[in-house]
Amino acid sequence: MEEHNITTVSIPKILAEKVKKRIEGTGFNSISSYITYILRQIISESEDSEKKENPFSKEDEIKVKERLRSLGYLD
Amino acid sequence: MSKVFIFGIDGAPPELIFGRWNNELPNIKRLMDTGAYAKVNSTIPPSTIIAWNSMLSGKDASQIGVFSYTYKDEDGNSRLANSGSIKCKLLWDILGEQDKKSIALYVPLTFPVKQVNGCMVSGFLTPGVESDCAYPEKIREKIISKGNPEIFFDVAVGLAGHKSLDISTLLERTYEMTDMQIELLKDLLANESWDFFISVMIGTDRLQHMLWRHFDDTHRRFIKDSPHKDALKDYYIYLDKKLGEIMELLDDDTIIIVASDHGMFKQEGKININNWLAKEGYLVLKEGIDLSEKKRFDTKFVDMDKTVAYGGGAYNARVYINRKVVGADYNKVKKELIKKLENIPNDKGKKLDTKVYSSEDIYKDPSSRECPDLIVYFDELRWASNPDLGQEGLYSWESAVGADNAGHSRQGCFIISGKWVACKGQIDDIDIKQVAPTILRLLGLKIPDDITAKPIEVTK
Repeated sequence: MEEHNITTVSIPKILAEKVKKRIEGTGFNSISSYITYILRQIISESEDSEKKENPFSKEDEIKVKERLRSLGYLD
Repeated sequence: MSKVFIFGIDGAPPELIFGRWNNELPNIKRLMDTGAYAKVNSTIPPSTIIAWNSMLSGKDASQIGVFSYTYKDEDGNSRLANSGSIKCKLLWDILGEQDKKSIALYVPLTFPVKQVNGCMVSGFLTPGVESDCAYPEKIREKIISKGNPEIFFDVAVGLAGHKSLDISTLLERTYEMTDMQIELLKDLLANESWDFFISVMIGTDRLQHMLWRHFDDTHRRFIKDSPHKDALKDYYIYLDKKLGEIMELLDDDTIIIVASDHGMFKQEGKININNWLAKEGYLVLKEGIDLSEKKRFDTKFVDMDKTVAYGGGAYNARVYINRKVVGADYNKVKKELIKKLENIPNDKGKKLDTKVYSSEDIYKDPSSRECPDLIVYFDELRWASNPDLGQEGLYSWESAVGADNAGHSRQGCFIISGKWVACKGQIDDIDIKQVAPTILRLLGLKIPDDITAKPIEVTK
């Protein structure tokens, strides 16, 4: 995340303390980086599960299969 | 702390990179001279989408959960593999858990993209620029702003397809695609922060499949004095120049890896695997299947009450044994099939150097229903597999669709250079699964317990 794209959110101090303890000894060097990671995981997972059902539209699936066939990759 | 940058060259064969054209690739040569290099044993099978993901996870095809470009869904329909098909963690997942940033560009099977800690642009299975091809979203605008976003992800677009392109158009498109891809690569390299960066160039694979018989005078269908005889070499020289420009942008602490997922060599022809299985009595088709014209193989044509085995696979052959019919004789049938497959000769009756792998021997997790029972490398992959029905006999040459000048070979390239790299010159062949733990170690991170491949000893 670039610095000019960063915003501030508020969380209870007690929660921040708990997070601080949790990240001790891990690769996370700040509460913010840990919370960003957790939120990204949650948002990504819910969006991914929607996509997982059908990442290709019918039309796209035909188009990409045709491409693979022309490359000799489809059996 | 070091950073790692991988310049992936799809299908680059060691015979050309380390050998025949090495002196004409000064930047690759410089990395080899200052660092270490090895041949890489690819995945079984050496398929692009499996091999890159093995390199980035340290896992085999069964642990990744992908055996070919398609899989059957619950209703038996053939679906395209995609990023959601991958069952294991990839490097950017592992790095994200430890607050490290990754940039992954054009890696096969990353469509639809994931919201990684860093940036991602999907690879050649991307339907188009309007799909989930870029994260964060602002990168999509960058792609659209390039000259020809329609061919940004692959040159094989349009109804005409790859094989119908004339060579000049194919070359023109490949350079245009690569120029756009490298322009974005340089932009992100300079303007985003990262610990690990990988970019995969697909152009080499696309050209090799079509151009092999233009320069290899041992090819069965060699084109003498082709105007395109130097076209593939020229493209490698161009890529090497681009690599040199990228190297200028990297700082001294960055470790550079140049790697390919598999190699490539001339293709002799194709063995009609299902014709052979039918002739030997293993495959029985349902009554009324019209074989007077060529048709793509589909399991719906198979009489599953009588069939012992059927085949698939475009380069390697995959053989599936029907447990319902063979029952307790499974091992006996498998043994017998292996022996017979190994003895299929070439069209002139000469013995081939065929290898047949049993999934239980090569995979850690062979339980998936997509997992074949046997994987066959006819003549070490110099002969491909053709599962189509309605073919005459056991051999076929040019197929109606599909590039068939060259096929994937089992060894790719690996070059590593940087100030932390202590070993020099050619080292013993490595396994593709060793790359991921090597990178984790170079980044100073713990290697997860479920990665059992050993890192390559490269550091001081």
